[in-house]
Amino acid sequence: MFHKGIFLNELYRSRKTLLVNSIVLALLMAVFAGFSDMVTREDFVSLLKTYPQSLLEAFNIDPDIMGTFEGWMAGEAYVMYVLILGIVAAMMGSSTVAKEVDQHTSEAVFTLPVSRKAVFLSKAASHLMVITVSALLSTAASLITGFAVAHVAYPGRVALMFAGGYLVSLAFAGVGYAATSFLDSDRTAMSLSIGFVLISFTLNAFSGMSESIRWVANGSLFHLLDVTVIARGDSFPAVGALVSALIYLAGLFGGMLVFSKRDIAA
Amino acid sequence: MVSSECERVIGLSAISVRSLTKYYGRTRGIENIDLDVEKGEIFGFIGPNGAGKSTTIRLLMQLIFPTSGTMRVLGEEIRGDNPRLRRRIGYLPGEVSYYSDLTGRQLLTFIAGAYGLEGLGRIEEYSERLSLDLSKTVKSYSLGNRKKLALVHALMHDPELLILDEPTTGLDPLMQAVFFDMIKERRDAGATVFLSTHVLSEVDKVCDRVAIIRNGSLVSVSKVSEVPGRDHRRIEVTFKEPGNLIERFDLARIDPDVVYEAGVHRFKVSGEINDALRALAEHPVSDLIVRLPSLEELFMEFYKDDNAAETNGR
Repeated sequence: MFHKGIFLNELYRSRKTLLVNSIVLALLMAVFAGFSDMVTREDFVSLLKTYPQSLLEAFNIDPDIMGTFEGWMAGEAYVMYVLILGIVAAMMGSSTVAKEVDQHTSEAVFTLPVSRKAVFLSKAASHLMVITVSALLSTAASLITGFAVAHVAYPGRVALMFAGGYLVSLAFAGVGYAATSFLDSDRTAMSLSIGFVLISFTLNAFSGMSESIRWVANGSLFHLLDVTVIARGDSFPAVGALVSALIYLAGLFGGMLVFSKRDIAA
Repeated sequence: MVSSECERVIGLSAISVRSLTKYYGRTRGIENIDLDVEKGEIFGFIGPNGAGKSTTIRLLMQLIFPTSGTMRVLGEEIRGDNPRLRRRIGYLPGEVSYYSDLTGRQLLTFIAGAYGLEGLGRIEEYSERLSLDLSKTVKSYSLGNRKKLALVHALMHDPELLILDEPTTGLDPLMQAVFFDMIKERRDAGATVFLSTHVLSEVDKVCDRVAIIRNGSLVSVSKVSEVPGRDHRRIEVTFKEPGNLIERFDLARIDPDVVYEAGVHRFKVSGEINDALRALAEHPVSDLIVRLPSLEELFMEFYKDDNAAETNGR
């Protein structure tokens, strides 16, 4: 069920995604961490408390914990992190089969003496590697910058927040895997991935505008994990983490099973 | 209950399909195909675009799955994804596309790994014979070079069965000759070759038997030398007297479909040709050619007749 050659080949082909995504995401997180001291000042936090609650919720901002590095990173930084990593993960997942069909390489790859399930899982393993490396580098960048220019009281909480965001991103990848067998264009796969993550983000952001529409957040994967709980040090949202992981695994294995039985488009 | 004759055929068959049908939704791909390709033969598979050649090949390569019917390849029944069977097959697709950012060597090393091959022995040997530079990236390859790459891919693991879809497209005549030598070598080593092509002269040149497919159904399977109409003769006559002489010499009594083109009168004659020659000798002849029809001519005629019948039927 795992083929090293397919894994390494996919990893080689994903090297630019790995490089660009890791650099962009790590730099972005470093920038957020770098600004930490400026935005965690008391006067700024007081100002935030005057903002509409709906706006604060849209960007995961909890003024009560904004006076800390952890609280600041749990806000907009976390949202941006999941947005970018989630889009990349969904794109990789949804392009697993679609890209091969779109680039007409499917005839060469899927007639190799490697089972379809092994091809699918080996490609997914390389995607997991790319997403994991990007997530680890981003976490490291934010912590290193935080230690250098700000006050990081609880590095473990920051790492846990990024780990939570990583799991949510994997859930987006799972949705991509579930969809990829039905797609025959890489552009469609990319558009759907970006669209799905943005819609998910929007549903979560707008759900806080009114109590009457709060339920729409249930349709968003961003709603799976409340990282402000981690930032406060209350607990780790284990259920959200578990559901995220299950969505990833269900999408991955469901997509693999569908692919193993479907015709491959010419 | 399978008859003993059937069992014998299946035992000797590299490919054996029964009532093979594939529909894409409501669109017909192929319908009720029965076909046996014997081990060790070079089998030609011809038909116009959309006839069902690629559908048949894609079914054999497990890229798509049948709507109904059975397929046995190299003694194994295909039921879903069977990578172990694919290891014994060399496949050359009609349209060759590979990962464009890899070099030829990187790509073939990756493919060799999938086949569990160690080293690049056969790859280097075949690449050299086909004058293929493996150090260049796939995207820099011409169509011909991509075809050579696909040929090395198909042959590198010494497969028992070669399934080739339009193999010579893009190859220059010199490389075509090298390719046919390689194919014959594989056949001599005991491999079976299933060759789908539009170039009928190739079938004439290398195939033992040929199947003709049309509108998703097999219409003929025979030895190349026994293709229907192959025993007919083509007679091309130039009379000393210039111009179209069909009416004046009453040439329609030799062949009602006689045509006059560029100074030559062309006849198709079946059976004995003595009567035709006698009738022609009544007039002064400056040149006369009697020959067997090419497979291409028979193929064109076959489809022309069929299309005409279909048009009239509407």
